[in-house]
Amino acid sequence: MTTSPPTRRRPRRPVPPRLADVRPPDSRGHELVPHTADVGLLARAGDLAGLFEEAAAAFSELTADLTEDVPSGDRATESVTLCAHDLISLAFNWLNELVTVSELRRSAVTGARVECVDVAAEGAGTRLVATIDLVPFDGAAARRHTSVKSATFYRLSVRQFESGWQMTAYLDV
Amino acid sequence: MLEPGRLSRPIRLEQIDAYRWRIPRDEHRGMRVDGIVFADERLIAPLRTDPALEQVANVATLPGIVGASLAMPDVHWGYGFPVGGVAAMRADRGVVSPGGIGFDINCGVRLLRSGLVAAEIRPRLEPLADALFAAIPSGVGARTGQRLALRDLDEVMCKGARWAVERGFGWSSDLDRTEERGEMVGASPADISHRAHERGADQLGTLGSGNHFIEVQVVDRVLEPSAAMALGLDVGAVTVMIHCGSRGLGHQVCTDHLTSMDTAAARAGIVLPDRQLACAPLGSPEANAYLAAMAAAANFAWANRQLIGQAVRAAFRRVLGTPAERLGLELVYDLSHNVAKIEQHHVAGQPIVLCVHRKGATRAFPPGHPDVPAEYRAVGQPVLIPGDMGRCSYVAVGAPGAMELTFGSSCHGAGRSLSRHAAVRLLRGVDVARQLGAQGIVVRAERRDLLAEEASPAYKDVEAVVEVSANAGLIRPVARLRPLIVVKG
Repeated sequence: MTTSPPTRRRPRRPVPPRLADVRPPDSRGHELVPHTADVGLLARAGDLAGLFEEAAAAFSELTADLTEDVPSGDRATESVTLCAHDLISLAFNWLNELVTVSELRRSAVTGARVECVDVAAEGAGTRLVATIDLVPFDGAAARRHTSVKSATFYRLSVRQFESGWQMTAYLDV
Repeated sequence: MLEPGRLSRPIRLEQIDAYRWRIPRDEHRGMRVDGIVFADERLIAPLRTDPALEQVANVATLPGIVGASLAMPDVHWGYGFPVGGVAAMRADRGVVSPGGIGFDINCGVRLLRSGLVAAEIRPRLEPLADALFAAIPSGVGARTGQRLALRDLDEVMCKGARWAVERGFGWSSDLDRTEERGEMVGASPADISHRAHERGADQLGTLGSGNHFIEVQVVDRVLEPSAAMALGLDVGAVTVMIHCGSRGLGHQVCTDHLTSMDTAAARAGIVLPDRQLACAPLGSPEANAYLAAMAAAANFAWANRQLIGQAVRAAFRRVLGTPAERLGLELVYDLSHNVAKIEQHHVAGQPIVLCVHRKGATRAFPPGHPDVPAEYRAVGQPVLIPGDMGRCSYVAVGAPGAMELTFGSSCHGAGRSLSRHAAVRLLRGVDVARQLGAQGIVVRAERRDLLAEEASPAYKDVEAVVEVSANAGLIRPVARLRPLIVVKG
């Protein structure tokens, strides 16, 4: 083995991790990910239902500023059932459901309770049943933040790791 | 927040000349043609490690692509296509991809000129800003408070800007100076989902949020006097620039059709490097349905900008006490920078019908082209290039080089250089509105933090973008515009 003579090098800037390289930790959570024109999100959870809930929590963080205490009278819900031919499409449909429900109900998404995510045999389709929690934007409890036009298929992934599931998605804002 | 993504594999770049770079066709990536990036040394440097180049290469894999996958000088990282991307597909064996148009179908720019000079309105900038902000609903999910009946909404989607002019919202000369006369043929409201109808029903005449804006500007420099005269622009004159699109209706159209294209691409055996490039063969039922829905959404956007333009005229009349006609608030031009069009071009000397996708790119037809309005045909199609709210914007005209090199296309703006998160972080503690105020620019915004996201450091230098576009022969710069009032959603 040969060694090169020492050279003067500029200190390397730390290389940011790629989303795909980030091993999901055991705990549930989500992060927003910068993008030059748009915004990404990273969600992780031990199971698929938790994963889709975390994606909704990330969406909520991006699109609304919420007060700590939301009066119970201001709260509303929307029940949804979505189907898609694979998990990626289900994630696309789920995020776009959040966009549309928020816009049409003029409400902030404060979270979601995912009852089930059914993954049938390969190619046979997927299904999600959930309740989206909402607070109207015209009250004091929620202020609009970033506008989302749509979720995209760009680098959209739903991956299973030993410790759980991870979703990455980019939203057009 | 994590930091932004990076290229999955390095992209090879070869310099062609001072303003063009080639991404050589790479069969391992499935590229059918080269990628060509229009940039000088300054603009290419930050792009070398940017995912935008990977997106240029990905677009080059689409079936039927002709010439090259093109990136304009304002190119930046998008989703599917890069923002600033142009791709022309053969009409007989190519595809259409909704990702090559984007969610904001017919997002575009409208420019009004006036007989006013800046000195006449400077004492009235504050009330004028208030009047514009009050008259044009802006911000996330902005609504007019008036809901269009389904039948009326369908008529908007068929007639576009004409629908508004027929109801007194504008002048017939506005249509003469709007791309496609503000009415794209082939629109089919039947191909618009119930959900898209719902999202659009009360958003006609609204600005929206993000990078959409209304600016009152002053012409501070004329670069080509004869073309400026043809466009009615003179040094010191007040102009108004409007940037917005098809709102929730257009967003939903793209979302709906991406899903059907995803299935269509798989059925046609098209292998895609990115599912956001989902596409369907031109002539297929999915492609026909998308193009008809896209035209309907494009017409909605033209009606939207027509209504906003008329609301601007009304705001000027209220504040200055003079009718818009006497203020000379005439339309210079209205263009789309997110759309696909069936156009005839010459490739290797042969005429060929193409589906030209422009995503964050402006049509830039040269003098003499029959699609340029008659009154501008001698100088070329106006190309409206917004910069950023602290610096300047440009008016240019299309040049012959655009037909030779880019299927008649050019840049659509400055192009972002920083993510919103990075811009906010960079400007933490900075009062952007106050800074702009010190420059004599009056600002109104729905959210103060949006100003940091949209401030000058978030954008490339539009002067550099225009210079490259001009030196590459795509456009001829005509006039530079400086902001006086900025209204943001």
